[in-house]
Amino acid sequence: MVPTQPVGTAIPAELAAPAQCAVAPALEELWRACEAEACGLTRDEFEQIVLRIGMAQNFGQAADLAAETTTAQQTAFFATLRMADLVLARACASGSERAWERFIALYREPLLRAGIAITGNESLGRELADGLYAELYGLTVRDGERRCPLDSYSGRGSLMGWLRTTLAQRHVDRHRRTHREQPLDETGDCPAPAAESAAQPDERGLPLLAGTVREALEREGPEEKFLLASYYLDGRKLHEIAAVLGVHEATVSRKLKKVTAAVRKQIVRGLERRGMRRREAEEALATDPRDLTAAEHGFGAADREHLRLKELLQSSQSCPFKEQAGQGKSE
Amino acid sequence: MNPMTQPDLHPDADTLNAFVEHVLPDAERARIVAHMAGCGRCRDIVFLARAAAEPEMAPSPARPEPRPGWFSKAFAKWRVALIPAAALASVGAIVLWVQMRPARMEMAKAVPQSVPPASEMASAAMEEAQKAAPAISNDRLVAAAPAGAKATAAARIPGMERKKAAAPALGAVEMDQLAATKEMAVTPEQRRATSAIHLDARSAALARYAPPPEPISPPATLKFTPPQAAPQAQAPQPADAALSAGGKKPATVEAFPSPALVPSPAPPNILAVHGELAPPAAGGPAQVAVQPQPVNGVAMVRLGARAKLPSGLRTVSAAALLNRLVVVDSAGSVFLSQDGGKQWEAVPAQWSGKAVAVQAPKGVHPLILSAGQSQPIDSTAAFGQPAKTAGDEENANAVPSPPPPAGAAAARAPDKPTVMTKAPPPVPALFFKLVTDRHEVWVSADGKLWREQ
Repeated sequence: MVPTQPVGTAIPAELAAPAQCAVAPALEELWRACEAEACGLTRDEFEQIVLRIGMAQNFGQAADLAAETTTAQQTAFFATLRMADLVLARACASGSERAWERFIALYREPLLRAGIAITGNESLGRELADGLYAELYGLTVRDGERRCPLDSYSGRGSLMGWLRTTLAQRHVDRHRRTHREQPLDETGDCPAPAAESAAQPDERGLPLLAGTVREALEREGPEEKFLLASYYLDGRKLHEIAAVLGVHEATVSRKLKKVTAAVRKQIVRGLERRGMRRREAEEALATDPRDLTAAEHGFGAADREHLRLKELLQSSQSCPFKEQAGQGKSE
Repeated sequence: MNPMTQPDLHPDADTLNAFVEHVLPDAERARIVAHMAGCGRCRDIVFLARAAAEPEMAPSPARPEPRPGWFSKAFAKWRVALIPAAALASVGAIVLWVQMRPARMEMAKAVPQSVPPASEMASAAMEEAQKAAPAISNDRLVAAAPAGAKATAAARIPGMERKKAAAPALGAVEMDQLAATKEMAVTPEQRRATSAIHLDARSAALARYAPPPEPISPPATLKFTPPQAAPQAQAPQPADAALSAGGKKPATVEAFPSPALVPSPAPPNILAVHGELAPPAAGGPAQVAVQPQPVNGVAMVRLGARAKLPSGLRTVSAAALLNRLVVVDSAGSVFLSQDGGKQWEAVPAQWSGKAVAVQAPKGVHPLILSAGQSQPIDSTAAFGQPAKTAGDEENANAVPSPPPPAGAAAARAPDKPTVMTKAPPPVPALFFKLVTDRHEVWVSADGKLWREQ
């Protein structure tokens, strides 16, 4: 059963005027090229969708320049969008029968393969893909309005990539919800698990190293911290990090080496500044940063406080992404 | 923290997908990276999505590109230097070829190293002569010795070395003559004799690379007959000092068994030559004229089989006898070559029908010619019978003819060393045999004139 209620079709009134006067010929050409009519989208619906996406992305310009974009810039931005995928996704979101047939013909098997690749298990992958199908196809009503995840697809990347990322999101969220769950019969013989709360850094009991490490990490840039977290915390390989960042593997290795040396140097300096001898400071760095436990090496042995680099890195996020994005756009 | 319930905390799937596919603007990409530096969930999503996309982005395994091996890489790396290297190699090959070619010819002219030195042979001969108290005449002794080899060595060594080599080449001459030879300059006769070696390169190559001939039994066992009076020969002769040139045993005579001289068959790949004793000059030593004689009949036959005949047809039969090569082509025409297949002359048909095959006796070994002797030594002569003397024939360069009757050598001077056979083994007649399609057999000694057998 295909949902028939259109989603996200409400177009602000201010979008109509510029679309008709400025980029109307370009939109007309895009509408014909992407065969939106075959998917059940009218030209007006197509223009509204495209203009909404353009306004949300500031037509690829900075936030303060969004109101001053020219017709050429808007046309160039529209040309960068994957119109065919966008039309198909929006047509499916609006409940077009033909669009869903096409969607299933095109993406059912790839979506199943992606689910298996993400989970590493065929049954789990199939289950994950079917769950996403249900979510895409079903009825999720929020605030009295049906919400379809396909409505969030903006056409910047491929629809298949969006589906893979959505599958990964679902898989990660489910894993994070359930990975600590254990059957009761398996926990009987095990010793009492380490209290996760004990790993939380206490500001009053933080050893000397905690403040030093935090200080050293805050000096580094976002990409350096991403490298440290991906390599040392997540255990990603160099080629995986390089593929995500779009650089060569050697570049990642070189940057990692550089940032590690810089962090070590900053930590040693910070420890020396706090009254520690250089030899003691260097001995404190002899452990793997992923398993950095200050209590085991003479720092705050009395309180046995564990210091984990992961928590230091994870706690570096001070504000939500939305606020960060807002700050970035305003800059 | 549930990202589904708090979606503003994390970038949505569309943004993360755009980050994975590297289509985000730089500013937005930096924000995503800054977020992921502290967000393990979004890092996991990004890495998972990227890992799931890699199998589809990877090329089809049906058409994997061949991975170049180390040799291909090295070749691609140094292929620029390949052209000058090839040019250099070509030039080097040409230079080597130019340099090696005359050297090879020179080697072909020279006696191979297996040829024994004259000193050993001469000293051995002298010892035998002393034992038997013979008076061996100069020319006969030289005839018994591998004078050709020595003369060949002399021809190769210029100047004084040639004189030194020429002296032992003269064999076991008398002491005074030998001393005179050491003192005197090379006479024109000696030059003529030594320069008589003129093996062409083709014959030399034949002698070098021909397969070993079939073992043949010595057709005759030569002996030194006791001389009537040989006081000179009994005199102490400084053969070792005077004949010190050379180094190895002769090819044609392995040793001088007492008291007989047994010429052994030529070993394979050994070039033997015919020695010819020139009449000794007045007061001078005996002179040796050497006649080139490719003796490897198998090689000659093979050469004839591959030769380009004047008729342009292929060779169906070939036979070699001494230095003559007779072939029959596919049309039945007969051709004769006396220079190892370089030049061919058509033999007029003296038979009826069509020649189909030509044959030559096997086991013909090099013969030693005395000075002025056109016929080879009669190796078929009976024991005790003197061989033919020099000057019996007019034409010194005549083709070896069929063996003359044994009595032809009876007029030999008594003071000359006599070469006799120890036991007359069966000696093949030196005739070419030609078989026609009518089963007629024609024979010829020189390949030109044929008579029906």
